[in-house]
Amino acid sequence: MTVMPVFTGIGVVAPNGCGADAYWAAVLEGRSGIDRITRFDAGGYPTRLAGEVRDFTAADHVPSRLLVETDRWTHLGLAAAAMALDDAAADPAAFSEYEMAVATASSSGGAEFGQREIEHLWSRGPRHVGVYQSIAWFYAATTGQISIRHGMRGPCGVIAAEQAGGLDTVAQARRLIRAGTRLAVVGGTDASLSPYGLTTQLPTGLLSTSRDRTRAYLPFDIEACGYLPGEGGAMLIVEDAGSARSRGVERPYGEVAGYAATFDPRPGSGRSPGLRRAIEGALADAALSPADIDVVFADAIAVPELDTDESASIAAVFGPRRVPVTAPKTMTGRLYGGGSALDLATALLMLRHQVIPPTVGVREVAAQHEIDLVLSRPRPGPVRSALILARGHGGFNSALIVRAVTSSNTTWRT
Amino acid sequence: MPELTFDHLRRLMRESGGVDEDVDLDGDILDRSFPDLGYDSLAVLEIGSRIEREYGIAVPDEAISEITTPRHLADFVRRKLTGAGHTDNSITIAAPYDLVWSMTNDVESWPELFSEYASVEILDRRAGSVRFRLTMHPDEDGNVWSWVSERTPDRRTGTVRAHRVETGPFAYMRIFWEYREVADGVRMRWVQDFRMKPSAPVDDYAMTDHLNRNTVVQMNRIKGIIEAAARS
Repeated sequence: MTVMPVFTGIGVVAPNGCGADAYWAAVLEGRSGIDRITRFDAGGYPTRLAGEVRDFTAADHVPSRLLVETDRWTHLGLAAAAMALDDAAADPAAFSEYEMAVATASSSGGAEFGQREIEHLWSRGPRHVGVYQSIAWFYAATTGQISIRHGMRGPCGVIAAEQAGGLDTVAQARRLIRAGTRLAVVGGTDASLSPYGLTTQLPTGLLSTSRDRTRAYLPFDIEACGYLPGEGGAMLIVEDAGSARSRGVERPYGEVAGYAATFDPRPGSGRSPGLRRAIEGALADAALSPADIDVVFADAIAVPELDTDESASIAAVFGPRRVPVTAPKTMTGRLYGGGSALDLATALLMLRHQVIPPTVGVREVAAQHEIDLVLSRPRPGPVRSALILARGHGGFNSALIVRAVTSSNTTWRT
Repeated sequence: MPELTFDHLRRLMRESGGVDEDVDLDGDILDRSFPDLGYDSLAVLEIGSRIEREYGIAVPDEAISEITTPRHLADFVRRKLTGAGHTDNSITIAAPYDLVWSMTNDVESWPELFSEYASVEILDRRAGSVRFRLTMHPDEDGNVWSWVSERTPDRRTGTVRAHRVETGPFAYMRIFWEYREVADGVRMRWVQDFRMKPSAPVDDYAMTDHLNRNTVVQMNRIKGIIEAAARS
């Protein structure tokens, strides 16, 4: 019998809302979290706008002992994981500890924490580096702290594939669930809006330097000028459908229908980028045809030639303007390790509420993009399935298909 | 920063290690183990590292790994700061002040009052001081430790000052006793300041540790004996 993983809980910490309800309300209103960077003086940086998570007080979510040991990215991850477990009404104590797994995406690690300690190192010497640097900065820290906090001792890991990592954690959870794991915390967060964190992003040349918060991040627009970074992300609970049903889950957000990941050929090879192959692979994995997909959540990086690669891949598989495409990340910026996890959470909330979220700011889609972009207003459903695309800097492409769980799905039939 | 007070230690613990949800750092924590207080080995290292930075003293990782309680840590820092050993312990005895004073200052009774002394020999009494030789029970290696101390009680201030005349393995050893009336009896406090000779079998830190352990044992025994006497 095929094991079908289902999503049973969502936790969101986003620039335009903390908690899934607040976030979803903001998304439907088109309320953006993009604003001037306030976490440090970014006046001397080419990029001065970002999506900061502002209505988040770490001490409200993270115990004092853990606060001092962990970076802000982990604070956000711990908060989102607790929200997701709560939303799923899943009490870890009711599971065997080895039946629960954690797989999170990380892109920057503990950038802010690491910068502080590195400053101590070069300004005052090695004895001034706090001991928690040893556990706070590295990519697996958030996974580890979630695992410890909730007593989840099954397979745990971290995926570092920049923006694509969030989707890859779902694939990892599916693998684990097929091997007997009952519940997995997946997703990711990022918090690299610190001087060091931002500086490491600048050399790609892909960031927007616009000063106009409403016109700075415009994927597929004639004025596309690069993307804005953001912080935060989402954690989700993935469970084996049978196990979820047996513990009383009545209405999962959706199921994992298909997934594929590809890697781009080396620059200058002349070969095509891998995004299209990822889309086709995910459809094949789901045994669905393009016509079965109701909406595409685009990677939407807002760099014209990369946007063209993406719109051409979508149009090639689905046909020109044949499927609605949206990019709610225009309200948050790209969240790197948290980015595709938040897109996934948004897609699941869409399946729950049956309305396609908008792409804010874009006024005029450039002619070369033969896609049906959902612009400033949400578009009513019905929506039964969504394809989420994510590209991670360095060549990562991931595509995930999620589908509403209905009584006609064999997995949820009772 | 001349001294590490317990209050300052609490603040360092709070700032560098955070506080476990189930622990009240302002409560009676000095003799609880760090793991019991929610601090793992990394947390203790971090607290030690903060002390190192604030006080400009070396707190080697090996020393930290031997330190088990906040009191040990404070003692360690004091010793580092003063270059000497220091202990400070108290107990409340539920008995009348005069009884506590007279029983604990009756040096001839010490072989009964303390469990560690085999005998006492009064050598001299003059000008309010008593000089005496204490001989301990043989230790596990068969050594019989013996030394001469001089003790000067001051009933008016409720304090006693004593020091070793024959110092043995100590470079010096001074003891300050204090008796204070409190709501539920008499608070008896022993403050010991000392330094070991370089040739001594243990260093200041190990002796501090030993005294802190043994003092608790002796104080509890004395409390039991005096409270029994008060009842009878």
